[in-house]
Amino acid sequence: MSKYKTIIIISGLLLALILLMIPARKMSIEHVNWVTATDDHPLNCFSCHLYTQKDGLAARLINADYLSPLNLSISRDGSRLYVIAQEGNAMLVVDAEKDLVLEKIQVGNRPHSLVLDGSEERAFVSSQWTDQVFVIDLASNRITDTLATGGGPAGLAISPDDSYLYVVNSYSNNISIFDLETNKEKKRLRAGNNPVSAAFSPDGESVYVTSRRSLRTTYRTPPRTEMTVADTRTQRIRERMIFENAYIMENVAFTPGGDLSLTTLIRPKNLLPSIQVERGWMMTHGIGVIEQKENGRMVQLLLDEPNAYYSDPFDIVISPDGKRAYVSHSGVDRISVIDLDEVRTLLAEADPEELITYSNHLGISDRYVTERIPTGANPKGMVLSPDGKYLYVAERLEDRIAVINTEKLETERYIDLGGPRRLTVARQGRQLFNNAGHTFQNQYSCYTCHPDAHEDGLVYNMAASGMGRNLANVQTLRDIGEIPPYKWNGKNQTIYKQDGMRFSMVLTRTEAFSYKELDALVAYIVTGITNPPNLYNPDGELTEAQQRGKDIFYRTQSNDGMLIPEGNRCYTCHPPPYFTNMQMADVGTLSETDDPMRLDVPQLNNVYESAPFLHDGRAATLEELWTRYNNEDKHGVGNDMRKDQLNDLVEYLKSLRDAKYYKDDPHVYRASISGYKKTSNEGTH
Amino acid sequence: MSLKKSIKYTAFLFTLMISIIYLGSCRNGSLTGWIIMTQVPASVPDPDYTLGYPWRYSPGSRLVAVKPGMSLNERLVLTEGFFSACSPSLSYDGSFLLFTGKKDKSDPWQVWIMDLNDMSIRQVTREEVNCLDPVYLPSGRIVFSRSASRNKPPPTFLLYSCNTDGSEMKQISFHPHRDMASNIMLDGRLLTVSRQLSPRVGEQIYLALRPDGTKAELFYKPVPGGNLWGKGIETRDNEIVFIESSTQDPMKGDLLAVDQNRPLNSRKNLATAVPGSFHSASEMPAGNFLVSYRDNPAETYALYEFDPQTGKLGELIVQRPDFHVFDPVMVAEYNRPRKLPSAVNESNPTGLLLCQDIHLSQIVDAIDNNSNLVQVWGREGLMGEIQAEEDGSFYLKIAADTPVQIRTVDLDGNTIRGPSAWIWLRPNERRGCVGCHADPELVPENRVPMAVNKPPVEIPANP
Repeated sequence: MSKYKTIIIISGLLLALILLMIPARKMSIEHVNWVTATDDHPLNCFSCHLYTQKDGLAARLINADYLSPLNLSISRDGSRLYVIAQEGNAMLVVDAEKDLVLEKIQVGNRPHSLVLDGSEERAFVSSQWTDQVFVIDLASNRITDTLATGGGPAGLAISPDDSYLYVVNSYSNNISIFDLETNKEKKRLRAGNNPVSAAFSPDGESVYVTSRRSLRTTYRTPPRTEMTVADTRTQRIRERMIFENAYIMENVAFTPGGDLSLTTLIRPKNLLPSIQVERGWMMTHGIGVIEQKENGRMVQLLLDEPNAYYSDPFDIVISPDGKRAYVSHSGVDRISVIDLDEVRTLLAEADPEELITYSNHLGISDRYVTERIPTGANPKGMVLSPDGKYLYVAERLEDRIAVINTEKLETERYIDLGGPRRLTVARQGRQLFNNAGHTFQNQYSCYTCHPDAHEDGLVYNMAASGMGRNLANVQTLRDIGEIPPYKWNGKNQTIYKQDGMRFSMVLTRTEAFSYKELDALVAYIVTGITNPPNLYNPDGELTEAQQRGKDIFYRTQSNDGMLIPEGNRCYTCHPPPYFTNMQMADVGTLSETDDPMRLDVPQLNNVYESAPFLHDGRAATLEELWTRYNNEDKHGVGNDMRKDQLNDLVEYLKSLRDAKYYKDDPHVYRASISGYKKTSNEGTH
Repeated sequence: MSLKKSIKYTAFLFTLMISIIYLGSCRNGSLTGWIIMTQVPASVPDPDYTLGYPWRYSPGSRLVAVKPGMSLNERLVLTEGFFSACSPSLSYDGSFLLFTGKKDKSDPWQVWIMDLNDMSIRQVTREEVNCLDPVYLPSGRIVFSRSASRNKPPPTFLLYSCNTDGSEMKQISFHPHRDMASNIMLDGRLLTVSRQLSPRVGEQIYLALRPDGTKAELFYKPVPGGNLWGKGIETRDNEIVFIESSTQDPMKGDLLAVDQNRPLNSRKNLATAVPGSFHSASEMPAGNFLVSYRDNPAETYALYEFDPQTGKLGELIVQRPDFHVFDPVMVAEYNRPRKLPSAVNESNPTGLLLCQDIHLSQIVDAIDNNSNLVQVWGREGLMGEIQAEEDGSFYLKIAADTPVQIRTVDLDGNTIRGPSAWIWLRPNERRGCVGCHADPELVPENRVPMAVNKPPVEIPANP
């Protein structure tokens, strides 16, 4: 073959390749434009096809195993820090003088909190996803015992005489009391909704337990969140104190003198139409104060300012002299320093009406907030050195501890916990998710309405087509990467669109995420959010009631033997693994305040964690879906069911676990992002 | 051609190409570090600030650039050929300069733009009326004040935005006010000096609004009788720095600052130990200020450095007996404010307004307030009267871009509270207020306003 012939063949092939690339590029651009709902996103295949990989070699290469310090404690002499590495699944023992990590002790899955006993011989570590408390001998740094708890153990408190350990079970909504002589659970007390932390009063007579979610309330009324007070002598609940119009009470602390207890909280504005951010129209953040005296008042004070919000307050610690409180704001990377004497003066001077005004006043913080100390990404748990001179702050998304000099009120140094040095794309996305910097005046982060990337249990009025209309129940973000479309009305075909330009117009009301940021945020949402273990079905073994409920879920005939039309069977619209067919449907649940529309069929994994139910949150319980909102059997044939059958069905629904357990189910619905077809009723960007 | 020659030519061409690329990339190289200012002839008499007239729109003004540390002779007059020019404003990358100028005495003031790399100047606006005080938006568009008429005093000036070639001009403020001396805060909002002119002349305030004209609200109010002399400048310390007339002497300017986070209650004087008068100020990249200042009225305003930490004047940079020096700005890159998304939809001719409780007010009632009647007044008179709900809420659909005032009245039509400041809603804007003359630092109570359970009341009512 001549040289010329070779050249002609190669040239021809090159020409063919070039000709093929033109339509291929055009198709790729169309594809990217559809996914991102923009027309100028860079043609970068990595955005979707690499950074969003959940499994396999590529996922292992591009992601990293971070430590994510969440809570911490300190020895009485100040020489040792004990740090919970939430995603490192470990308790770290840190030399607080040499800034060295001495030990890493594995403690189950997703540890949450720790507490030391009075002699500092033992540490107790709650492991939220393994339903256990690990008992660690601090001399040998070995686990000596594990205590079986309720669902999702989180906050811990130990009695001053070391005889009892109080464990806050955040998923099963109760408090386990362990006798530390026998290490046996002695009692279990009912707590509020999603309780998370606990603190002993200085006199040892009470344990205060905070909750994050509101108690069940009448529809379209303000949230009411419980501070549960346990009497430590009787080991019974003494009082259920309700913070009105507040929620997400993450942590609680007492002044050493015992005159006040303080908790962090958020005051949402979910009942108002979400028409503006200006002037605190969406979220405000503050503290709840309970006076520890006869007829002591419950007061809420904001930590925000008129043009600056301090979102997602998490931990609160109080100086040994009782004059200062420090609050970590995980959404704005700041520590607020509060002058407690000013708070005491304000409380002493104020009448009840003024106190109500203060709970909604953005200027009042000027009286008692004396400093805002900047921190690294996502400050969470804090602890003061015993002399109060240093404040140690767990910077969760930096994998380090900031050491703040409390005289200068400046960060003096950092303790590197030894996490990965590189910042992965998904980790950047997680930082964005947790930071309110992308909302006007920092009023809220994604995390605020989606704590733990789940949902906050509230119903909002986004007022897109008029105020008071189209109310929206916040949906979970757990494991949603493969179940488009998004939003109840299904208008967003991808997460890119959901969090893109329109998101900034209707929700964050400030500059939109850049494409690089959006890539990172999507990578985090798609790859980094998993469901916790199912409270009602931890190991896949169904109870008899759940099994009976499953039979009802998959039934094809009603009680009277009539064939249930295929479109009216549970599993038709709710097939595994996500228990959604990703289609739009009208099941007769629209209300007077809704515009005519069809709704995206929601997923049902761990659905019991997502009350209230329906798109507008009208159904307080799963039962109500059938007893109140399915009169015409449009939401599946159900009116023939007996009460016991309904109970069984509900039990089965509560047992639906993470989608990974149903991938091989015979009823599985095969679909993926690429398989999702645009329908005529789907909105455009 | 020999190999040697080829190499030489190639090297020459390569060097030339690199040089062109390098020079072409020097976007803000030519005047970086220089200070640009307005010089106003000393012969121009002091204006009456109390009427809100700015000084800088004077005949014979010019823009001058000087390099700090160099001889004062080494100055550059940037606006040769202009009858008058003033009000310099830099792009955030320090490459372009917006200013107001007129080529001929009889021309109206217009907005011009100068490329600081090659000093070329082009006209942006070509209006029959005065266009003043331009400033860059983070989006690359510009905002300026445009008078409603050329000569009729006192002229209404309203805010407009347009592209830098003057295209797509849009009005963004809609009230009988004089809106001038705008600047952009780092949160992306405009801050403008606004004074009500009708039905009576009001006090000056700083008004904050989004660049699309939505969510206009009071940002700062001077002490009674005080006047704002120019634009507010946001510093790295999150403060808004500005000049306000002294409470003792209306012709003396004090250098003040408010905290951006709490502007209505954080006023402080930055230069209590400095006895003279300030006229204008800006922040340099290093943190110190440039100020125009004079010790006494017999002197001209000169350009000084000012240290906000110590509150003391620093080095004298420019002083001229024949010119005042105003509006200094150092050529440098500055932080670009946020680009705020627009909620305006021109296809929707209305906006929505929700008030949560008309009874919530800072004003102590002198009259029986059992009435729930609310009146909406326009410039031509009453536009509508509605009954607020039991909880004090009302919900209106108002014709867009129409200034209205709200007042609550008793059953005999006597005003209980109001009138409010002029309010306008942009097309498709949704806006809420907590009460009537309510404390502006108060957030709404979290409850469903009864008014949103019904459709909004249309203002004006459909015939």
